[in-house]
Amino acid sequence: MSTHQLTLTVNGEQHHLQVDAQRSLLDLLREELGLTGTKKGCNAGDCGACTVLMDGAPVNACLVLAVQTGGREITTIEGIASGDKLHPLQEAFIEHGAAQCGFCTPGVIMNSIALLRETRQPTRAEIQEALSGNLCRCTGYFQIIDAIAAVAASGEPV
Amino acid sequence: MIPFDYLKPATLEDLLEGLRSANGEGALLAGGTDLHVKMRLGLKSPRLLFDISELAAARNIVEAEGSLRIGACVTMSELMASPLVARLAPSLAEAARSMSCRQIRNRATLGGNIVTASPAADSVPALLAADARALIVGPGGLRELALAELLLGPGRTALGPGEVLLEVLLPLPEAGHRSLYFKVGRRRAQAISVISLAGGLSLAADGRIGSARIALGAVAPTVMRARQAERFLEGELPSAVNLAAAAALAGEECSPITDVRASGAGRRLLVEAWTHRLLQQLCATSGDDAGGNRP
Ligand SMILES: Cc1cc2nc3c(=O)[nH]c(=O)nc-3n(C[C@H](O)[C@H](O)[C@H](O)COP(=O)(O)OP(=O)(O)OC[C@H]3O[C@@H](n4cnc5c(N)ncnc54)[C@H](O)[C@@H]3O)c2cc1C
Ligand code: FES
Ligand code: FES
Repeated sequence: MSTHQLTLTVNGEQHHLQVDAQRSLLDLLREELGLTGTKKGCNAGDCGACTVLMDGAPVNACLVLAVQTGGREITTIEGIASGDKLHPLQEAFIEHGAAQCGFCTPGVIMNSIALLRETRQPTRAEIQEALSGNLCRCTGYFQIIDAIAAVAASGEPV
Repeated sequence: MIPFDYLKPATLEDLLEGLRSANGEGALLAGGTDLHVKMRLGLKSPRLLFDISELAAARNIVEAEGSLRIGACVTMSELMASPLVARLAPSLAEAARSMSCRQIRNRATLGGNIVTASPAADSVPALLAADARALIVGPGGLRELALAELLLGPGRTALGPGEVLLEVLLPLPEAGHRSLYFKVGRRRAQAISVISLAGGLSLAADGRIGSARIALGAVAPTVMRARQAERFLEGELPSAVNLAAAAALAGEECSPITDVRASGAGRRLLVEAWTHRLLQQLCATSGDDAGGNRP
């Protein structure tokens, strides 16, 4: 098994790391960088709990090898608040009761940030379609969609 | 999971050389959305992965020499965003859009979708209905093959050891050609197709059907063309009776199996009903919905 030198940026901070070839980006984040906000649900691309932004695009961190992220910029749920001030989507999720157990929440929020950056005023149907790869066992999705729609309507930058 | 090495060849030459020295122990890693899952399930255990996700020689979308040429490592999201694909292969753009979810589409490549050789691979009906060809590079140099001949069965392709799918070539559509793609799943997104279908059709000046192409997914060991239905339609008027008869032929000539998503008999009914809808929309006088819309 080969090991590789790697420089990547996670939440604005540069890391120089040595990684094994089969390390997934998800395991790198959780086990080596201690960023356990990104969740491991299925480890197979089905649930979206591991969604992070890679150079701004949402991807399933379980399906990306750590070694493929050299030179790239990764954003996780830990990187979106500004100091003590929560990100508008985090605020809206609290307000709308969009997190129950919270396991899906980091992935949903990361995916929603990407959606709102691409489409400032998505329709409810567009929000639903955008979340098709994020499974939630608790909320029934309505509160999640309400929260995202509220941030879209507020016009707050994401 | 069995340990593996990782290499990212900088050029096509390096890749081919690497594959040669790997002696069949290597595998290509494009988007990894299929390969990682299979490796974790123990269904595949390559010793060496060659990362081709950023291989420049397979990353372009261009119109050249009468074809739309799409690099094998173009992602589904890139297909959806490409103005060339929207104009020249709208049903392929629709197929990409209908596939899985954003996170997967941002990684999954066209080449990976083809070489996975799933009967339910969503891009393949759109490609087969466009008479796509595969440009393959390997130890023996370049060769071109009709896509239909590349796909041999579930998970099986005609790629030899050390061969790489480099590009997919779609002949440019003739003027007035319309194409459509439909995916029928258990839900509208993030679902493997129960059936999928793509069609292309042109009407002659006298109102008769010039050429008709119908491709069906998830109802045979490979994505298939409904040749009997196509032959039946060519030169005929697009009458209600003819379209219904062609749809019935498509339902007869496919060979669907029963699996977790649907029964074989149910799939046959879906093929007939959706082929009928496909043909009706392709023959509708307004070209407005040419390019596909979602079920
Ligand atoms: C959650 C989930 C949902 C999915 N939903 C769908 C869906 O709705 N529709 C659908 O069609 N598929 C779906 N898939 C399957 C998969 O995402 C697609 O088939 C995808 O296009 C595969 O492309 P990839 O680049 O990720 O392939 P990879 O996983 O990188 O490769 C797949 C196989 O092809 C080989 N390969 C890749 N590129 C080449 C090349 N250029 N030349 C030769 N061999 C090559 C690899 O060695 C490997 O064996 C889904 C997968 C997941 C995990
Ligand atoms: S853990 Fe990655 S998609 Fe489920
Ligand atoms: S809040 Fe529990 S899975 Fe979504």
